[in-house]
Amino acid sequence: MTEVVADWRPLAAVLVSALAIALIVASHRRRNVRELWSVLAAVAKFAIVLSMLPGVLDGREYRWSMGMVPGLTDEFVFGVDLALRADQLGMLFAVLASFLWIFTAFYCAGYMRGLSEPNQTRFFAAFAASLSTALGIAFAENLLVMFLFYELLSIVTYPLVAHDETDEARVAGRKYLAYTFFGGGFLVLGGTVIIYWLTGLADPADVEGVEAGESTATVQFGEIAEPLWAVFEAGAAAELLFVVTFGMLALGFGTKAAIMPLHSWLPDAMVAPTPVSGLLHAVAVVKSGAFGVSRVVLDVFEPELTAALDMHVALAALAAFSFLMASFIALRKDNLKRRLAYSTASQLSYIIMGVALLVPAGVAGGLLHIPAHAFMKLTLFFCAGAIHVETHTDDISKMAGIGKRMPLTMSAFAVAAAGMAGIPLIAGFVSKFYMLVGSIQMTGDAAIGEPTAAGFVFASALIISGIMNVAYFWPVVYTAFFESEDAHDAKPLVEFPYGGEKASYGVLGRGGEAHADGGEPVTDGGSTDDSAGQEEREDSHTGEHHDDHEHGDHHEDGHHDHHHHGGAPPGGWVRTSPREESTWLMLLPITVIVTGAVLLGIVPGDLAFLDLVVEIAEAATGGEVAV
Amino acid sequence: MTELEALAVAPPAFVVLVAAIAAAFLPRLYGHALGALATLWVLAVALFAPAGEHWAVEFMGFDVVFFQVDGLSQLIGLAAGLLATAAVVYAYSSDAPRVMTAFALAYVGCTTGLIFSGDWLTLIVWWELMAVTSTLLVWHHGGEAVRAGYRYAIAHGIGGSLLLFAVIWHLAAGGGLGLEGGIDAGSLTPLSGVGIEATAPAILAAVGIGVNCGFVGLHTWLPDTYPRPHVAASVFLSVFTTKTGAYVLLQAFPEGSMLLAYMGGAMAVYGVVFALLQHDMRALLSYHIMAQVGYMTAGIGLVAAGSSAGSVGAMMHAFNNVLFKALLFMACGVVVYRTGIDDLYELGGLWKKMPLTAGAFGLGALSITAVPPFNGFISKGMILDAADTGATYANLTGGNELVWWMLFIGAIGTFLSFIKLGFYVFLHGEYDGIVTDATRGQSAAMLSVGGACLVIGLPGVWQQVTGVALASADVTAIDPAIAVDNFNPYSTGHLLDAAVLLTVSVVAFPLVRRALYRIGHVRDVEAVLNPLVFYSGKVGVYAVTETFGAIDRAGIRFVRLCYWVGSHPVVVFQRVSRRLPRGLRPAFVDGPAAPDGGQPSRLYIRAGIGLTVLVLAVILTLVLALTL
Repeated sequence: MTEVVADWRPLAAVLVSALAIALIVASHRRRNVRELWSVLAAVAKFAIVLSMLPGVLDGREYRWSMGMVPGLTDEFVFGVDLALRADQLGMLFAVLASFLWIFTAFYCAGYMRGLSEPNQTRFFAAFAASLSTALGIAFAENLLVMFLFYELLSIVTYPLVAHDETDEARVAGRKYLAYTFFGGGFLVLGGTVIIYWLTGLADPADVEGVEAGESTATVQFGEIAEPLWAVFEAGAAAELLFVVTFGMLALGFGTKAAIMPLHSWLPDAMVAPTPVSGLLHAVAVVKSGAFGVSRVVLDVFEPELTAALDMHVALAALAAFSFLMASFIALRKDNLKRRLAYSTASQLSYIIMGVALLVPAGVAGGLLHIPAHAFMKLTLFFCAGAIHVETHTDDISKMAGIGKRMPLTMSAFAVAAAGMAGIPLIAGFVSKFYMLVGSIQMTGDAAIGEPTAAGFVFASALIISGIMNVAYFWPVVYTAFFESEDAHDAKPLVEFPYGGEKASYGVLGRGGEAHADGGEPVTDGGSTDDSAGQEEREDSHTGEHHDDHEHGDHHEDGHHDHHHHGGAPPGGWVRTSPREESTWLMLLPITVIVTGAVLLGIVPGDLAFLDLVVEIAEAATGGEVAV
Repeated sequence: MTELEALAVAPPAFVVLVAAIAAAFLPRLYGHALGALATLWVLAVALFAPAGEHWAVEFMGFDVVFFQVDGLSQLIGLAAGLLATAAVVYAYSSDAPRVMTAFALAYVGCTTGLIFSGDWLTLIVWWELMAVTSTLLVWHHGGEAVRAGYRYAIAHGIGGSLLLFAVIWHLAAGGGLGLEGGIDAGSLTPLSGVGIEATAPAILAAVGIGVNCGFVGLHTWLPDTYPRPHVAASVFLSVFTTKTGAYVLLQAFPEGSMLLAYMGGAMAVYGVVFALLQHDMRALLSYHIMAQVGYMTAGIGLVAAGSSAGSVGAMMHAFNNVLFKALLFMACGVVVYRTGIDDLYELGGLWKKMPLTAGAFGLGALSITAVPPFNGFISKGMILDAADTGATYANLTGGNELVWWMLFIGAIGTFLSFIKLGFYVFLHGEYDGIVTDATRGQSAAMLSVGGACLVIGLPGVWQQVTGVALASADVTAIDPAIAVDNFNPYSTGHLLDAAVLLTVSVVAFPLVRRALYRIGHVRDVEAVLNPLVFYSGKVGVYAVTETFGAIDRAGIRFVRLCYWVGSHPVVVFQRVSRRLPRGLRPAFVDGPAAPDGGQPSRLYIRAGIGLTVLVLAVILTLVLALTL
């Protein structure tokens, strides 16, 4: 039995950055003080969360409820408490989010100053608010509180997505809200209501801890499964209703987790500044979606009922479909951030599939992928952002030889990309290993060791996806370090004939041919066309000239057009040493986070994450992870 | 602790990896010197470190053995350490850039880690890292090597993933992580077909390891990649991936399988046929790697025929191959380095101007063609012996004669191709340009390796090396009676075979050489396989992206339609009601609204009782169906 301790710390963790909002806005005239508030809030948040970690690992749970405020009662509405509870699964997400925010705060400062972005105060304030709501999601004790914070997260991240205030940004922001706030929110709220009603149908005699005459209705995690199971067994409601509810909740949270086919808000949201993409893709939003799905499977329906409904196979199949399709699409993207977006959609589905396997190793692997992917993906996005700030290059086809200009950044990119492909000694290998074990162990009626056909398919899908990761990340790595500006393969590889097509920027050696505005490709190896209809915009500037833009110097302030050529300057990329390639504000976070990804791959047992996920998996499934 | 125990303190892989990092930053001389010292350390560990598990740790939540010394690892480690040292010296004197040597040393380090690993998890970790470091080594050269390196990475990614799948399946089925017993969890039901029973993990492991070994059909990366990078890089590449592939194959299949024996025979024949047709020197040698690994595969497979000598022969052959294959790459590398020419038909008569290189080549060629008393003669003899025995194996007709003949034909082909290579490069005609012989470092490297090839084959010495191979637990577990005395490579039968091979080849070569020249360049299976993979991938990508694009556009159109419906309800209602049958059509009061729906509030609708009841009944039915 877990010990529940009343404590103000969960609330403190959530509110500390809400407090920072006021301070950030108040110091809008003094940039360094403003940035300092962000960093301090992040450190304070991490400290509060970390202080709860030893207790949680020991089996304690920290609970704050509204009743702890003098004069208020716990109950918020219809018997549902407004409460925050730090349990093991919640701590996994909270530790990750708060730790990564510390470094994201530094990176944001470097990025926004490097591009002289407008509305920085609004940006930092919204950032702080998002982290507040993200921790609210992590610590939510029941579905309703989680729904509240979920919607709040969508709202406060809208100004971040639409930050640029261009038409494209606004469209992307609207799409983002339409999918996550309305679509996802409607599904989650509907599912919550149905759960409340369904659990209320149970006979109090069947549910532990409920007196006769009391209502069994509940939406609290960990307490829903029992009445739900009783109702299911008694046949008091149609099985179809359970399936529909599961689907609603899973898809509602899955929208934010960018599961296909509800993923298309994510690539469009790439129009946001890169730290936002990093936040969206590693720290808060998509992880909260995956976290929500984990809660649904592990704490709402719980493995027994999920398996009885066979929904685990359906969910895992959807996830497997999702990660394969996303990998296919990623192969065709020229814009680096979009390629990373589809990679994210793919990797998030790993988490969902791992959890849906319902065997201890699979659940552990899926949950371990939450921090593993976060570290790797954040590194990749930070690298993409640094490249954008320093060289204004967004497209892979223009990055040949960029390793000379940005050695440290591209090396970190290479390491993180290797981790995504599942190369050992980097975080991705550990989670993939456990998920593969879990797939094989997903037994149906077959004898131990004989995987069901479903398990075999899922394992194969994981293997194939790993190889596809190699296929779409390696070209970026090799073009950066090993290809020359004037002799390289045209990218993306799949758009050109077998054997590759030689392309050249025409920048080396022959000075007379260089273009004054720098970076305009002489022979672009083909048109930079994109696939899905709405993405033409950012690539359609062959032939445009930016007369006011000289490559290499940073901008006078003011709103600038994000649609840059980028690319190699005349004379080729300038060889730069790691110390000078960019500001320390961006390089430090990149280095720390890629080191974290490597440490997670070498000694995951020493970093609390592995222990946490093993304990969560074993508690939820009732089995042992050890093979 | 004693000096010997000091050798077991740190896994040798770490020593080499540290040297690799240092080599990237230090000046060339110091970096290479440090690298050579690190590889000598590996040699010392292989020779002198006490046997046993030296570093059992917990990794990723599993208990693994990171550093273990046993007979097999000593044997392969010995060859690896010796050759790596020579290769570093060769690289230094071939103007290898320091970053290239750093990558090469990292590759050697990962190989060392694999050789001395004590369980499957450690092994697969090093296996994948070997693929990554060798890819970097290939890429470093730039130019054509980059795209070839990408193909190489994908091929090895597939192989590594399949092996990982096999290891995990074996683990999840209760087989554990230990290396003993290979990959064949007893609790699984084997799949039978083609007269052979194999469990799914075993099949996956065979294909996965087969990529590294160069099984027929999985081999196309070999001639695609090895000829392209720097000559010193080719030396490193030529030995480590493929020979450790054979080593891992033996670990996975200690009891062999006739399927493997046949694959080995097929590889031997296929490899030499294509080698004979090559123009590029290093491509010829690459196909030969395939043929030679075919011998090893056959040896491993033949254990199933009751001959455990096969695996001993296979490992001896791996040991010898590391030495003479690298020597051949070194010699041809010197020719490329000095002349800049890859095509053997454009060279000739180099023995006069490059006698040292020609001599080194000769040593390597005599070893690979199994001429006594070179080392190749010993190990090839052992494998052919293994193929000769096995009359007890009842499942296949004709015993193992088929395998024996395939291996013998392979031997003839080997002879022919090396006569061809030596003839066209060193003997035939005159070379017009100005060339100097190998540099001092190159010569030292080549001659030391060549000398080793000669010495190891000598009577008295080969028994020592075989004894080391026999000390591995797996071999003696299968056949406790086996001992060095069971082997007799210098028997009259073997010497006669060697004489026959030599005569046949020397006679046949002048007859076929012109025909070979005229056949020109024959495309290998990669001409079909590579475009197939590429275009099916391209079709897949386009299909998925266009489908999703279409769905997305349809979705947007639908949303726009909904917006339009929401803002023009009157028009919509009118259009819809116009399509209903007359009896159900609602009556409009106040006449039709303007076509653009500009007066939404003026619409008064009266639906008849029938329509109202129908609509209500349909809605109620739906609600009831859902909730019941």
